[in-house]
Parts: sequence; structure tokens; C-alpha cells
Amino acid sequence: MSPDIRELLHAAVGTPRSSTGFEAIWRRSRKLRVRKIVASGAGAVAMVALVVTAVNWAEQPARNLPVVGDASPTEPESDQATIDVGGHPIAVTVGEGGAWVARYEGTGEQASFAIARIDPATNEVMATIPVDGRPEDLVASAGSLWVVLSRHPAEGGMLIRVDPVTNEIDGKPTELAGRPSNLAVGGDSAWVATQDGEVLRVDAQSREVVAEFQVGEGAVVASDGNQVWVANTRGDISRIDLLTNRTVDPPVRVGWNVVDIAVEANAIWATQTTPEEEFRILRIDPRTEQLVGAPIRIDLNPGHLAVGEGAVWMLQYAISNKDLDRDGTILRIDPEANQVVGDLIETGTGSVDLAVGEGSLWVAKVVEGEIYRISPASGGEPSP
Amino acid sequence: LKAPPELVSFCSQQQPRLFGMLTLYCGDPDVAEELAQEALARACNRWRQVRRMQAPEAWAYRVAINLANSYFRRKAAERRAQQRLRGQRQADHHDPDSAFSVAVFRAVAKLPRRQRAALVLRYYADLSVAEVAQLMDCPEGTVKTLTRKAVATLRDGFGRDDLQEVSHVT
Repeated sequence: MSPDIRELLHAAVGTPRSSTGFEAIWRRSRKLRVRKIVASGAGAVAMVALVVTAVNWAEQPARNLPVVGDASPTEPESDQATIDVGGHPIAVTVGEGGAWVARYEGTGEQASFAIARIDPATNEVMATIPVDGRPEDLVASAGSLWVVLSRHPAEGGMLIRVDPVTNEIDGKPTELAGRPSNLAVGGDSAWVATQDGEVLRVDAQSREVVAEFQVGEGAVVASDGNQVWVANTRGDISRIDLLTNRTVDPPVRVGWNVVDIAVEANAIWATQTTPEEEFRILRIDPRTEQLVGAPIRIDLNPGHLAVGEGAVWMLQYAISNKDLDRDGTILRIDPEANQVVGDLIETGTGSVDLAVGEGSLWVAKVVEGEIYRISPASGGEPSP
Repeated sequence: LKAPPELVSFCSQQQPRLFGMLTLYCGDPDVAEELAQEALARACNRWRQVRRMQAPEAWAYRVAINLANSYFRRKAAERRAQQRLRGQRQADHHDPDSAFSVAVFRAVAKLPRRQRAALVLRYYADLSVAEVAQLMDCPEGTVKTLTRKAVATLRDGFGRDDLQEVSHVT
């Protein structure tokens, strides 16, 4: 009689022998919980967690009590993936039915650049669009994918539109005088920050530059589709009046270098570094244009901010070798509580960009040539 | 803090199965033991949610496979495990025919990761096609294709032309 595969596998494993008893598992679970509490940076509330845990084990009726450091584990690490994008990803955005990845292959004169579109339903690259320049940033919004490209320094940059229906570059590119650094889309326009400290407004229909703003060194721009904000290394954060094409004076002055900003309807979020190497996350009320609450202090270099899935997310980087185990971790900020909550999500060294959408966090891993898709609820690692 | 009896029972039942499945999947009993322990520790910490699931054991399998995948990716351990498998380790924990076990482990270890996952979940963990599909987040047809390819590869690599897929596990 032919052996079947089940018999073969069970025979190979034999009677599983393991030294692990329940006590070892139980001890490990306690350590895991403590580690998570420490990782969340919420040492002061650790006692709360222990009390809550004790209540849980005491089999009280379920009351949905929050467990500090245990990030809503209603599902395991299910909607997670590691996606090979066929090159080195340098930026990622989500919208218009896809996750869009700017990537390069080769170096120097041999470098080639493309946009890869990932189908969120299958986690597979469904289209690759070659582009004529290094994609510095991209945004999918309002029926378009916009991409800013930089070319040889003497040649400036370009803004292109990709049609998400055809996955093809649509129309003529907009020539940009400066080298672009980042991009936002809002108010029927694309907004391009340049390395010269300018922000250019490009009309989405005519593709013409219709306004220029001198923002200053380290200009960054962000939008939620309705409002547009800019910031610089002087620490000035300003709203742009879309009707008058002027920055609203006075700006919100936060004193020192603003690294990145993110905009949502009820809050403007900014990351900041100071000369004393203090790192902060700031919140501004867009109605009063005033800082809200105390800055959130963080102990690693702040990276990209992203808003979505009910939270604000920030990629952060190690300052020195002693922090390397936290390099490329993602912080979660609860906008209601205005504080860091939950586990640090580990993505490892080489994480260069972060986006939120389609129920997931998307992290560009430049060295590995991969995108990590991570469930916001898991607090865990992605799986291939 | 004391663990509820049903959690103790769940861990005691699942630990050997997880350990066996991960041994096949990883090809390394030491790694398998570590990962099985970690998966169950996570189940302990999330027991209030896990116990209410329709299939808590499937949750544990999924966590275990994800942990194994993360382990492979981040530690590059797959190669080391296979090297150990080829080297001095002769699967000392196994039942009488160690050479047989090592041969199976080698053949399984050579399978592409998704085929390997589908194979061990379906035919070692005895999950249904639907359960494996849900666990691997793919259509049932994909699971069937993956397991069919895996069995075909094992048939070739293991030199068992008469190796059959089972049909009685539903």
C-alpha cells in the first residue's frame, strides 16, 4: 500500500519531544508582557497594566478593559506581508486602489527608476511604470498618482501624473526649476517642496505652476486634501491660504528644526529636533493655530509621520549603536490621548518611508528591496 | 497571577503539535521549540481574545508560522538550519529511524516557503483546506495547488513515486 504524505510527515517527526512544559510558557508570557510595557514607554502605567491583567485572570465579566502594551490583539499577524518590489524602494504611498512604491535599480549612470503598483488584495506588484528621473516623493489622491522626479541638478525636477486606471503616465510633465524634495496634494493642486526652500503650487488641471512660496531652508509641505501646511528648519509652521495663495501670518513658531509634518482635519502634527538633541512631536490645533498640550518627548531621531487607522504613526531611527535594536521602529500616537501608546513596531534598519492605508502600515525597506505590510493592530513583525 | 485551567489544557494539547509542525517547517527542533513556546506565550497574553475564537488552535498555528517566517527573514536562519541539518545534527530527538527523518526534513526544507507552510498545516497539523486558506490568506484553490506541488516535489526529491496525497483529511 502506498504511504500517504500525512503518514510520512508524522513518521518523520515521530513523537514530538520537547522540554517545554506549561510553566516555561507561562514564565515567558509574563516576560513578554513586561517587555511590551517597557517598550511602550509607559513605565508609569505598568502598574495599571498589572492590575488590569489581574482583573482579566480573575475571570471578571468582559468589560473591554484596555491592556497597556497589548495592542488590540483581536487578530493575529494576519494581514501582513513582505512584498518584493523588484528594486530598492525609496518612497511609498497608498490610495486610489493601490500601494505605490518609488524604486530604483542600479547606481550612478546605470540607475533606473520606476513606480511599482501593489494590489492590496493580493500583495503582488500588478504594474511597473518606468520614470525618467529619481522619484523623490509620491501621493495618490483625488483620482491621480502624482510623482516628483529629480534629475541631474542642473536640470531641476519634474512633476508627473499617473492615471490609476491605465497605470500610465498621463499628459505632459511639469518642469520644475528646483530639485524637489517632497510633495502634497490638496485644493485641486499638487504642492512641491524644493531643496531650495520653495514650495510650488501646480494646478492639477492645467499642470502649470500657479504660485511660489518662499518657505525657507528644509521646506516641507503636507495636506489632508483640504488644507495645506508648510514648515522649515527655523521652526516656522504655516498654513497656506488656498484662496489668496499666501501663507497665513504669523506662523506657528516652535523654535527649532521641523523634520516632518502631517495634516488631519483636527490636528497638525510635527516632529522636531533641537540643538540639545531633544526630539519632540508637536500638535497644533488648525482652528486656533496654537500648540496643543505639551510636546511628546521621544528618545530617537524622528522620521516620517503618517496619519491613518485612527492614529498618528512615526518612523524613528537610532542615534547611536546602543539604540540599534530600536532602529526603524514605529511609534503609535493616540490622537485622543495625545500620547504614545501600544507596542513599538519593529521594522529594522533600512526603513526609509512609511505610509498608512488599506488597513495597514506600509514600510519601504531600501536595502532588502521590499515593502513590509504590517497590521496596525498586531504590533508585530510582518511575515513573508 | 494564576493561569486558568483551560489555558493550561490548551497549551499542553497544542505544544506537541506546534513543536512537530515547526520542526518540519524549520528543519530545526531547537528553533521549533523556541518558536512554539513563543507562540503559546502570546496565546497566554491574549487568552481573553483567543479563547473566544472559533479555532484558537488555528490562531496559534498562524502566529507560529509568522514567527518562523520572521525568524528566517531577520536571522537568516533558514540557511544555518539547513546547514546544521546537513552537518552533525542527526535529528537526535527522533524515533528509531533518524536517517529517514533527516531525509524527510531535507526534502521538506527544500520546498518553497508557501508550499512548505501549506504542506505542514494541511498534512501534519491536519487542518482543512478552508482553514489553511484562511490561515495563509489565500484562496482554497491556491492551497490545493501549493500542496499538490509540494507533494509532487517530495515525490521526486524523496524518491517515492508511490507517495500519495491523502483524501480522508477534510
